[in-house]
Amino acid sequence: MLTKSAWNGVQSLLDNYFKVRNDDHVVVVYASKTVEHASWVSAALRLRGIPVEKVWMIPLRDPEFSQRFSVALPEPTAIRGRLIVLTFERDSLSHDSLIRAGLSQFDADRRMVFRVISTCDELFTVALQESPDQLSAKNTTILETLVPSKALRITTPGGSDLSVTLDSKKHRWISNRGVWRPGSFVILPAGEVATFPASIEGKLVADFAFNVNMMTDRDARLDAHPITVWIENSRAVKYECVSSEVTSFLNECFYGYCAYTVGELGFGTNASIQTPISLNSHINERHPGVHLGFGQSNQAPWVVGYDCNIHLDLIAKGGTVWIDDRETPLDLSKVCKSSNPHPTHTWDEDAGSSQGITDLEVEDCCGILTSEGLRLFDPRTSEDRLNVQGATSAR
Amino acid sequence: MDEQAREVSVDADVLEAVTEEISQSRSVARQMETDAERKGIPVELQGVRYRIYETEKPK
Repeated sequence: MLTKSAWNGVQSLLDNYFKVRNDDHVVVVYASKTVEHASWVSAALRLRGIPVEKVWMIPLRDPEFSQRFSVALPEPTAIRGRLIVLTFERDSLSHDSLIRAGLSQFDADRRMVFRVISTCDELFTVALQESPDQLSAKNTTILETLVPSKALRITTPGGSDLSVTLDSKKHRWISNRGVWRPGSFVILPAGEVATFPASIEGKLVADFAFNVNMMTDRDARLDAHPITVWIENSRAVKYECVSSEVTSFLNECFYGYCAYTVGELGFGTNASIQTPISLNSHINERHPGVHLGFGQSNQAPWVVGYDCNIHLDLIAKGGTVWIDDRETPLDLSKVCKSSNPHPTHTWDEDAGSSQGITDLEVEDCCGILTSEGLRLFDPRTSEDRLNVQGATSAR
Repeated sequence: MDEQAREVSVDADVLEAVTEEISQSRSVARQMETDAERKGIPVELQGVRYRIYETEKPK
């Protein structure tokens, strides 16, 4: 529903994220499920007198998308300003390579791509209220503090207690802040810093929400029934939740799809996001707190030694990060804004299209890198089996 | 105060523009879906889960 608050979010997108100008040309790509929200933005552009074209797409697999997209694009010589492509999807992130191919004729300095995953009302009423400048400054603070560090202890009000070691020379950092740089796509909603933990153990109490890279209508909120995960040697070894439905979902993720390896250590920085939403959404992941991503990592498979189809983020409310031997911790709910320029060594995009549609079968859910290449992981073998226990304490 | 009552509506001209935009886009989407289905291209993904995204890997 278009409320004043949502309309303010639309204006924030145009003014703070695009910094749109009258000589820009915008192409809005939308799916059938995102017609309404995409139309809010295209209508706002038309009211400003900015040229806008709209392209419909089928998510994930659309054999005619390239043709439709190329027809909608203006001639490069016909644009005085920038070409801005904005895509809206609710459950997916599709056609990366097709979009890049279609835009290859435009100068990299003048083609901007913003990709919305988790299109919903809250994107506009909540997530876009925080500007890229604010997110960038907070991300900079976190990067300045954590990139040089070696050991972290992370606690949360909900009871998490994690010991982490970092290796920033080996593992890249991702900073998602809504700021466009030539050659990169901007993923929205924005507001996160993440890396891969060289080692991690302890207990995570995810009392905010989950976010998983599968299509699901399951309610993502965990505030009423938090998930507790015990971690040893960077792997989930036990988990508990009072909800039998959520436990069943975890069984499927952890045991059915081998997503027990901790593949991501993430810190949300979007202070507008204080309440979880029910949608399986990146919005929840941008909450100012700590989250762990189980399964698929944010590093190249040859760096971490494994690959996995599934990525399950378990998100805690808030978090305090103790760094090396420093006396003053970093409070994730009160990150100060750095006045320094944002580092240039980080990656901007924390998500991308899959290489192809894959049915998530157990047999090919994940693999281990060996000297002979990627070998399928088989939890039934004694060599690969890990003791993953699930406990239901439904009351 | 009730949360819905607190929500302020947008201006009438904005609402009109948005309503027209939505109507036009929905019409296009319906037509495109019909065309796609006629060509045998599935527009709905039902009952099957996909890898909807993956964390971007360094090139």
